Amino acid sequence: MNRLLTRPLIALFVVMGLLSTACAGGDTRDAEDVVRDSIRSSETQPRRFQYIDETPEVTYSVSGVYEDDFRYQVAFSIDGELVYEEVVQDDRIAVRVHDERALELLRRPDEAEELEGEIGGIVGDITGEGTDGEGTDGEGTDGEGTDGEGTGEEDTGADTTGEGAEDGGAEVEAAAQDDVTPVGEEGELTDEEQVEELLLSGVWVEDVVGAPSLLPSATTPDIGEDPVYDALTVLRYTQSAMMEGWAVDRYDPDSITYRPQEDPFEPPSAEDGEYERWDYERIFLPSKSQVNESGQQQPPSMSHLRKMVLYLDEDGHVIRVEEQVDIRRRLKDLREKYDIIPPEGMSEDEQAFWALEKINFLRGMTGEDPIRFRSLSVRFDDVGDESLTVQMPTGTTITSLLVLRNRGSETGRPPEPPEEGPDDGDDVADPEVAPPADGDG
Amino acid sequence: MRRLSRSVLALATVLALASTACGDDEPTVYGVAGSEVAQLQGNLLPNQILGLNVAEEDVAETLELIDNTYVDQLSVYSFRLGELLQATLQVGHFGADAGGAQAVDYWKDRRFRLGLVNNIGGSAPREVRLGGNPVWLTTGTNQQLSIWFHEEHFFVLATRADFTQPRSLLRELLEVTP
Repeated sequence: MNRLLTRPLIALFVVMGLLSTACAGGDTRDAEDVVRDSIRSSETQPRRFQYIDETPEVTYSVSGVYEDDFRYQVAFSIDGELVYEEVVQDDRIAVRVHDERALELLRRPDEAEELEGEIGGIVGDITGEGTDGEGTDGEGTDGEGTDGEGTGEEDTGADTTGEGAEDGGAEVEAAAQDDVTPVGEEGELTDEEQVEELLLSGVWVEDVVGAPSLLPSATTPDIGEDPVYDALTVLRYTQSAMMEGWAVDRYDPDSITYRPQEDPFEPPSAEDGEYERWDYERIFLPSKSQVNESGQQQPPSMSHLRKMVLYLDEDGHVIRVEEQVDIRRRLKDLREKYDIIPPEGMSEDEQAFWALEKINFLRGMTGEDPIRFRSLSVRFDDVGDESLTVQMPTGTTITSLLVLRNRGSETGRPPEPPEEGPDDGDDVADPEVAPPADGDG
Repeated sequence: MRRLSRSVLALATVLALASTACGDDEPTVYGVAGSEVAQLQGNLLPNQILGLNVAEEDVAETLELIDNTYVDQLSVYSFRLGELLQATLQVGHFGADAGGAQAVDYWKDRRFRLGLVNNIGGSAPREVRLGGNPVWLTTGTNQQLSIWFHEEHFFVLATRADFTQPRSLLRELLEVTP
């Protein structure tokens, strides 16, 4: 009757044996520790959020409810217009496309397109074409390029409670499988075009096992490629930004080092529950002598140009994040260290845009992604409110959502259990060599 | 009850190291001989979850090979779709420490827990919150690992990388209270 659980268990038990290193260090906490702990404790709290990513070309707004890491719902707007909704509950994901622009942005790029985009961007940089800020990333996989006017208006009209909740959706088990419309069972609507057609019809479409992972991985989208992902992981982004910066300091307008002319952000507002503000100090631009492994001068990065602040509430939770990519105050340094000298007669704004194009040209030469000229504003409300819940919409149409970036499964549903046969007591198959669980890869 | 064989030999090796816990400021933990490690009492799990067949596995022979371990109770469960193993759940109960009547519940110490969690899996564990419970996620070879604690019990769920409902299974198992 021996049964082999094989490798998964082996790995599992191996880790148990390493308990001996279960000790931690001292209790010394500096400013970075304070901010890091605040971010970490905030990441695990239920909350409402409003995320606004504004560039000169377009404004993305994502609002929603975050119950926990596997349950959230969002409403995504472009230039103030609701274009997409998404509800995730554990393995399930339901989406509703309101506008084709959402599909254009969130469509999964195939490998050929991605490669073409990268090559196109490099060629564009080398030939000097596409330096208008739209072509440096090849086919626009940076998520820009929509034709919005960038009104900068906040999307206050999005239903942050999700229409699914209005539909009276129930818990996972009660998600009314009787109430859904299976798709693709008879060869209909099985290819990507037909799924896209379904999505563009504006109905709720569900992939029962296609929820995306928010954990960092090789397929993690770049900033701007998937604003929904960006919004849901923004606290992790703030932590990365802190690690890339020089230091963090508590906001103190009485400090001898405080320079109000370089501070574009508001002081903490007690009325809004903002107890304190923490400022990220950016690092200095590399000197001409600082070169990379290829002997080239290091191009500027986000950590040189970013200004970011976090606002904490009395409990130490992050309740607001502001970020600006600030080039105007770097123009002098860029002139001295990179010979980036804007033509005469330009306004300061025009100089900043011109300089950013040159910076992205330099970054393209070293194979680095372009920097987006953006401002980010995020607000969190009802942080820690355990009553915040997310419910799936009812009346969904089930199919694969693989057409969407970072989302979807092959079939849109879990595999059927095999027909019961006599248990002969043989060893189970080795999971590493057995066929996939869903039987179709 | 099913019976495990070769794979749990690894269990013996690692559990035996468990007694060398922390430094001088950490609670001293009296280890438990593997032969004295008992199975958890009662039926923790139903026969089926999410269409998967659940069975408790027999690890008694392997446990007998261990001299000293943190746990005084341990059970391992398998989850199969048909015959194909989709997941395993290991539930352990931490033993008492040296304090006797004044025992320190060392398993409540976040540093102790993080130390354990940080040694599991092949990638840095990431803490998430599910239904108010902290859960640490990491990966192993072709598998996903989830680790969480409930009082003096710890849980390690391993799921195949291609299992389609890892989150739903985890959510169900978070409700398990020994």
